[in-house]
Amino acid sequence: MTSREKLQYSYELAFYPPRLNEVWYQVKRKGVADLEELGEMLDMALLLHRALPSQGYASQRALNRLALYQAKARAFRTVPFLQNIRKALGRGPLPQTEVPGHLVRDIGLPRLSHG
Amino acid sequence: MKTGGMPFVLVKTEGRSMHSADIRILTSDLCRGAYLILGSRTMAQEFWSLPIVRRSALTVIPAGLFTVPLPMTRATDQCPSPLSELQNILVSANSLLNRTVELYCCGMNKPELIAYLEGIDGALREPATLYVYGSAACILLDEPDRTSLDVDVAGPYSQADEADLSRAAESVGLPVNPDEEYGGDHIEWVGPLRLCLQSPVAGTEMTLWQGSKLCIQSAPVADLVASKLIRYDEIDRSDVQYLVTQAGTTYAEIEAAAERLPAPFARDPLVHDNLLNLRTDMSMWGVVTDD
Repeated sequence: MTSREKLQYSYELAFYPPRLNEVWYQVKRKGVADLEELGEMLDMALLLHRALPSQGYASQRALNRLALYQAKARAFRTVPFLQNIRKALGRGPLPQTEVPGHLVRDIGLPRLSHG
Repeated sequence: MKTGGMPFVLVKTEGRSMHSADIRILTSDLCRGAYLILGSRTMAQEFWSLPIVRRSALTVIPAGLFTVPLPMTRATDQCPSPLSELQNILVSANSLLNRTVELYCCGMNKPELIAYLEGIDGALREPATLYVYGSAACILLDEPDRTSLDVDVAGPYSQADEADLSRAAESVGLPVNPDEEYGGDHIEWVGPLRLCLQSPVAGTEMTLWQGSKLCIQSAPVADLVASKLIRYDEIDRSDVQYLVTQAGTTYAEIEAAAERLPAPFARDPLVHDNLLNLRTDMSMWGVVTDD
C-alpha cells in the first residue's frame, strides 16, 4: 500500500465500523496476508482516537472532521474493539497521548449502507 | 416523473469528491442506460476519469448549469436536502433538456428519511402504522452516518391501506416495491414468506416516528438484532454493534429472540452459526455477553 492508501485504510479502520468488523473476521479466520502491515494500520487507527493535537497539524478543517469522526465512533465503542483486536495480534500499548499531527488529514469515508 | 426515453439519475454527493461507495452504486447502475449526473464540476471530472465507466452511456451535466444549489446531503448534518430543492432541480433539468427527467435519490440519511415520512404523512387519506426493521430502524435510532436505499416494512405486522400507502409514498418519490430495475430510494413491503422478524408482542413496540396519520414502529432491539443474523455481513455487524452498545442488550436476550424467528429462519444453520459469531463479536466489542 502507498502512504496515501495506508492513511485512508487507517481512517476507515478507526471510523468506518464495517471495515474493522471485516478485519476482525479476517483475523479470526486467519485470512490476513500481512499481519505486520495490518498491525501498523491498527496502531494508526488507535492513534486517531487519541486526544486532538494542540499543534503540528496542517488543516483546521481536517481537525474538525477528525473530532466529529471521533465523536461518532464512540457510539460503536470502536476504541475497545480496536484495543481487543490489537491484543489478539499481540501488539503492545502505544505511548502517544495525542493524535500525531501528520495523521490529521481531510479523509472521506465510504457510505455506511448496503448496495 | 417517468420518461419514455432514456432514464437519468440524479446523484447527490458532497459536492467535493465522490466516495468509492458512490462510484460502486453508479457503475452498477450503468447497464441500465444513459444518466444525467448532477454534482460539482470536480465530481463530474473525477467520475469521468474512471476507467470502469462506460463513457458512451453517460451524459454529465455539472451542477453549475442550474441556479438552484445542490443538496449537501453527505457533507454535514446542518445541511439536509429538502425535497423541494430536489424538485426545483428537477424542474430546471426538465427545462434545460426539454425532456422529462426521472429522479432517483440514491440513499437516504435520517433527515431525508424524515422528510419522506412527513411527505407520506401529509398525503395519506387514512391512518397507517408501519412496522419497520433493518436499516431504516437503525437510521431512526440515530446510528451515525447510516444511510439506506430502502425502508423495510414488515407487511404482516403493519396496519395500512396498501393502495392508499402506495399512492402517498409514490407522490413523494418513495415507491412501494418498485420493479427491480429501479435504483432509487423506495419502500420494500415484505410479505410473510420472506419476513425474518418475529411477531410483535403487544406493548414491546418502539415508536420511532409519529405524524398525524402515519406512525412508524419497530421491534425491540433484541428482535432487530436477531433479524440481522440471517445475513450478518460487516454492515449488519456494525448495525448490531451500534444497537447492543447503545441499548445494553444481552446475548441471552438476542438468543431468545432468535429462537422466536419465523419457522424457516429459527432453524436456519446460518442463523445458528451467526449467533455463535455474535457471542465472540460482543466480547470483542467490549460488550458484556452474560458469561
